[in-house]
Parts: sequence; structure tokens; C-alpha cells
Amino acid sequence: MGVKFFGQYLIEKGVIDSDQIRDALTLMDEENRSLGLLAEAGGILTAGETAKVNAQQRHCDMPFGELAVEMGLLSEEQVDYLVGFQEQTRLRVGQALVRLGFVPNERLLKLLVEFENEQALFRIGSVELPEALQGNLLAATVMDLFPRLLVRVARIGVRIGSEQALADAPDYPVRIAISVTGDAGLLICLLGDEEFSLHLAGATSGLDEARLEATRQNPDLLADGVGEFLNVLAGNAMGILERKQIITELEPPHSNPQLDSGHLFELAVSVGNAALFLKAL
Amino acid sequence: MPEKKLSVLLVDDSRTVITQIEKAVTASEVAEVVGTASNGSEAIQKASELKPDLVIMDIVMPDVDGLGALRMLQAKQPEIRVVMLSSVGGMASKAEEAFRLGAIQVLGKPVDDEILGALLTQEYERLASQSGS
Repeated sequence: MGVKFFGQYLIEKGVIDSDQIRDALTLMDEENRSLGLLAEAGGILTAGETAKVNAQQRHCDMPFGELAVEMGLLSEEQVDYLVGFQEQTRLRVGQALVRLGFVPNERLLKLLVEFENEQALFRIGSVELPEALQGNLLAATVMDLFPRLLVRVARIGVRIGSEQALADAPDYPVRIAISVTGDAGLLICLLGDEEFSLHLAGATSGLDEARLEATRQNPDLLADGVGEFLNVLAGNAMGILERKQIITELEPPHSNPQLDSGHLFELAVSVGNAALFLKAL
Repeated sequence: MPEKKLSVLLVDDSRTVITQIEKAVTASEVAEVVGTASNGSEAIQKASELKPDLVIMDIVMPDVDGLGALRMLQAKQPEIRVVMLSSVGGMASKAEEAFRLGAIQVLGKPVDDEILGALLTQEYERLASQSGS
């Protein structure tokens, strides 16, 4: 149901098994060259300069290209060219599986079309964002994905309304946030009244009536269920961003974050009342 | 049908997910949950005690995360089959790392009960053919 990569889909369909995907990944590791090696092959960096960037990378969490620019060894244009070349020439998992004889090429193409159709739900549309969040691709992805996932997971219809002043933040009992760090950091917080939160938590965990009642009595379980929805929302958005070479990391959900600065959106939901808060990190 | 069901250890820091997966495992009729754990180190300990046929484990967890636990589990009990489960399971980098470390599948969240059911049946049949041979 969520974002997935092609190899997972092929295992799910019984086309290949996990040993075959491992063989394909090994072949990809052998053939796909790192940015540093490509720069060396093109005569843009020496082996010594590549080693210097690699050594520096151990002390900071930065991609090779960005670091090489910061160290004055590559220009931004050279990095863009190398990243584009790497993307165009890299051996992909499907090609590796065909090369290894695990899937015939014609069948792979058909499966690829089926896979793309299934994943169409996760294509990003265009979303209007407040000025401060414009250019934050994660925020755009979250805003676009949020209504579709809420319907899909919990059958809650939603329309994202206009931005509200933070001073007018509703005093809902459930406030759960999740942080995504990295190239496009974002704090996502969902605020909900009991009816909305209970419905969402119940749908996320597939609870029956008795357990749902127990959840009503237990704020931790309620928070856990809403947190799990945010986990799914953020994780799927991160999967979409990774396809655009934007790498992020996810932290576990937490309750009652400070909403001191950021953007609060009112939500028109089909069950209860809720609001969404986003803050660039 | 062999008498023994597929024994499953569930590992996730979210009670919500444990509940959801437990329900799907029970509904499959070929598998049963023999234990749960809420982080990687507890998973290693429970796997050693319970010796499950299959571990279904989250990737993002506090303490020892799922990939760290998978690495340790494969070193200590390589006979245990492991399915990773995560909201970030759709990130190729995470999924590829899990496969390299020995996972047999990586399921993204929200989990599709039908896909999980098919996977459990496949593992159950694999176990049945092994015990019959």
C-alpha cells in the first residue's frame, strides 16, 4: 500500500526471491561508481583529493558533492554534471535482474508498468505553500500526500484549509509530532480532538470495539496510534524524496511539541476536528 | 497441513503496530505470535529464548534499531527468517541495506494484510516442506 521500491514489488509478486535481490544488489555495487570515482575517471579530481573528501566525510554528515564544493575541490556545476551522469548511467535493480537471467526483459517491462501504476498514488501534485515553506520539497510532499493517506488509512475525508495564527491554535487533547531531519528537515504535528484521534488510532491499528474503548481510556495508546499515522505519512514522503536524491532520516514520534514558530493549517475533516502544523527544521 | 504453525516474534516500539500485525498473523491461520519486543536489544534476547521461525521487525526504533538488530540476529541465529517492516521501507537505501543484511522481505507501512498473509503462507509452506523432507 505504501511507497516501495521495485525489488520489494517483485518479491511481493513472487517473481524473484530475496537471494536473487541480494545477487542483483551485489552486481549493482560492483558496477555503479561513486561520485568520487566518476570525478577521478573524468580527470576532475585526483585520487588524493577524493581520499581527502572521503576522510572529511567521516567527521560530518554531508554528501560527497556538497562537501567537495565546500572544500573548494569541485564547482556546483561540476557536481550537478556528475550527479546527472551517475543517475543516467547507473545500473538499476531491474536491469541487474535481467542481466543475471532472473527475469526476462519483456516480462520486466510489463511488471515495471504495473508497478508504476500501483505507485501512482504517491506521485506529487502541486501544492500551495506559505512563502516560508516554498522550496521545501518535503513540506510539499507531506501536504500533497496527507489527504490521500488519511482517506486510504482511516477513511477520513479532509480538505486542508487556510493558514491560521499560532495564537489561535485549538486546544485539542492530542498533539503528536514527528521530525524528519536531513536535506529537507521538517517537523510535522497533528492536533486532534478525541473523536478524530480515536478514529485515526483505531483505523491505523485495526482495533475492535472493546480495544477501541480501552484506547479511549489510555492517552498513551491514543498518542501511539496517531503517532503511527504520522510515521507512515513521513516515511512515505521520505521514500518519494529519496527518488529525487534527497536523503532524510526519521525520528520516532513524540507528544506535545512546542508550537512556537511554524505554520498551522485548519483542517475540514469528516470525523471530529483536527489541525496540521508544519515547521521547517 | 502440519500441526505446527509458523511461530512469529513481532518487534515494534508502537503498540498500535503490534496490535495490527498480531491481528493479521492470527487471521492468517498458518502462523501464531509467540512473543513481542519493543526494541532491537529486547528482540535479540527474545529470539534467543523463543527461537521463532520468523521475526517481523520495525526499522526505526529507539535503542538498537531494526537494522542493527537484524545484523546481530543474522550473526547469532542465521536460521531465523526476518521480515523488516517500516514506514521508511519504501526508501530504496533502507530496503537495500535490509536485504544485504539478510532480510527476506521489506514491507512498507501501512502494511497490506493481504501481502502479509501471502508471505506468511509462503513461509509456512516452506517450513512444512522442510519438516516433511
